[in-house]
Amino acid sequence: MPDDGTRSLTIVIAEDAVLLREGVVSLLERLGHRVPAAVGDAVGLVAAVDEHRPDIVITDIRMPPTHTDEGLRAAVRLREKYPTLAVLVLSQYVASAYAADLLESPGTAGLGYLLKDRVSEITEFVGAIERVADGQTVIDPDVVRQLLVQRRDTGPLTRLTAREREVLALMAEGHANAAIARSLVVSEAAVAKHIGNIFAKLDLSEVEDGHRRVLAVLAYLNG
Amino acid sequence: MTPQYAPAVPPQAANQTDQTAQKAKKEPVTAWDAIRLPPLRFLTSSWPWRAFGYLVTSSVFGLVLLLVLIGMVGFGLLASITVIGAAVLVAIPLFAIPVAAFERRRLGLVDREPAPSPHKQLPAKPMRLWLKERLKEGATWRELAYAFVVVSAVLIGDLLGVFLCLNLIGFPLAAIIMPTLGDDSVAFFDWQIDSWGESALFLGILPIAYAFAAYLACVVVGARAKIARVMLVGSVDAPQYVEAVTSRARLVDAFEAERRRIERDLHDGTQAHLVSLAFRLGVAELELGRENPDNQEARALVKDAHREAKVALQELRDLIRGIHPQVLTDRGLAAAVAEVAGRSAVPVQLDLRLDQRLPPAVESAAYFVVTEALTNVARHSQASVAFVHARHDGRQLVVGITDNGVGGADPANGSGLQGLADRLAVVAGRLILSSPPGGPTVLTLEIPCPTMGPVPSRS
Repeated sequence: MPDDGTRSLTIVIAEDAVLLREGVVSLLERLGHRVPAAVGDAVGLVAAVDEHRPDIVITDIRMPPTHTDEGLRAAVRLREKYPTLAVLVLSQYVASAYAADLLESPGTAGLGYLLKDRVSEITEFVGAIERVADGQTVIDPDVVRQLLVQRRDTGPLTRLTAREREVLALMAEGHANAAIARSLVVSEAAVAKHIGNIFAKLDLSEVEDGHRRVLAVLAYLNG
Repeated sequence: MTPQYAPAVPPQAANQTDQTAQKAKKEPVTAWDAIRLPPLRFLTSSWPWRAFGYLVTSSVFGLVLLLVLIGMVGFGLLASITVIGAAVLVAIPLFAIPVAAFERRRLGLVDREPAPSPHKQLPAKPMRLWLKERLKEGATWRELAYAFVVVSAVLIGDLLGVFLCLNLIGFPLAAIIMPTLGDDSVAFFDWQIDSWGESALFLGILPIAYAFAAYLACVVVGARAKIARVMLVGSVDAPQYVEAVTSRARLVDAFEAERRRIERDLHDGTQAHLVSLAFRLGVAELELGRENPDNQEARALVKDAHREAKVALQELRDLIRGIHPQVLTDRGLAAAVAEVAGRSAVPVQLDLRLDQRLPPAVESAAYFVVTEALTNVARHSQASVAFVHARHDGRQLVVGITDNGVGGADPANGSGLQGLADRLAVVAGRLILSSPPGGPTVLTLEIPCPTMGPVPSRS
């Protein structure tokens, strides 16, 4: 059991750099999670998920044999197959195109897109794994920043105020209202009000609340 | 102002022209060049004799050609109701082809420039296709016209020229030689030349007569050669230009492949190791904090190392992106341009309508132009917003980068615009700049390219 009291997760890891893979496995096991399989390519990943049915998959985007985005494609296929499978994708690039693919994939379980560098922020990394396993959406702050810059003057996001955008950015990173309130030094009620405005401005009022957070993030990606 | 920065002449071809110009100063290339030599050098060179030779062969060849053409046209017209007659008439333009080939070789006598054939290279078979292609070519008809020029020239000029030259040189020669042979038949009007003294007089006249004949022959022959070159010779520059461009394209392709290789090596090697190192330092930091909370010094050291590893990773990532962005290979131009726009210091609006992947060289060239253009916007334009749009209409890729800045971008100012134009020239593209003082600056690139496949679907 993890010593901080959270539940023990079953995790499958796909990462072609052996040193990092073993390091992550040993870290996660030390934190009380179970890692039944750690593989080096996308084919191995699919087989390992079929066999072990993990709670969450952590995969690198770029893996052999083509060294393009096959880790990402495998992750999207796995989500189609197992809608409850949480997926955390690690990327070397701040590439919103990859993040968009992942966010647009079907499934209701948690999603994450983190820059690989972020892995070395151990607490942050482990926190992200747990949030994604809990069904939240975690997008790397750098990716969110890029999306904000990129969409600054187009699309429905132009309707948002600066503060609302900040709130949306933090939501995209998978933070709960309390965490957002802390980070912006406002009350939780204010955050809830901002979020209500965001949903209204992005025409998301009809949807279930839990899923609306993801849809709000999607609004970034679709501009 | 809308200057275009596609280099009109590739550097190699330009050099070649320079060399030709320098050569012309020293060593004449044509008969007309030779005339401009100092008289003594001209008269003692081989040029007059080559001109005489050209003149004489012109006359002989012209006469033969005249007879053959009269025969062919006459027979063709007379028998034109029959198949054979029609065939002979059709064969006349084809007959001009070997005539022209011969003339191009003969041109070498008085024109040292290479004289390549203007015809397309065609496989000899099938005969029907060869015939069709040749009859379609403008070169064939120019050659036919030239055959008639040869025939006309022989009637009005060549024979007269030969006659004049033969007399100018021949008469003094005869006047010198004949009396020594005891022949008294040489006469200048009523004046019988029959003494040594009189012969000696012509010995003095001979060089002057030779000079007259030499200049006359070179002027006439120079004109003939000029006509032959214009009508019979293909552009020497064209094939060399193509060769220069394709060899540059090969070089750029090799360069691109090398960039991708370096990117891959850095990514899969150095970057992976650094990530692993940073990760381990992160773990160490955590463990030290947990198990040895008192050892602040060790924690600080590990923390510093961890921070440095992260900085190194960030720098490496920027470096790799500058070498070759992976997203360009994976997702194509639109996705890659969106990434650049996201990093831009000046806000960028995008309107990219590219639903098909383009050849890698085209995507790469366009990507680097957009990157450089946005860097320039951020550095020099003082713009508050930039706009990038891209279209592919099935024939060419058009990308425009517009900003609301101060304008006045000048390719002569070393702003890298010429480099971008060069880069585009390799893929046969061009760069069009409009940047009046006060703005706005509009940079447009056009690259002709057929479409390939659709962008890989987001599965």
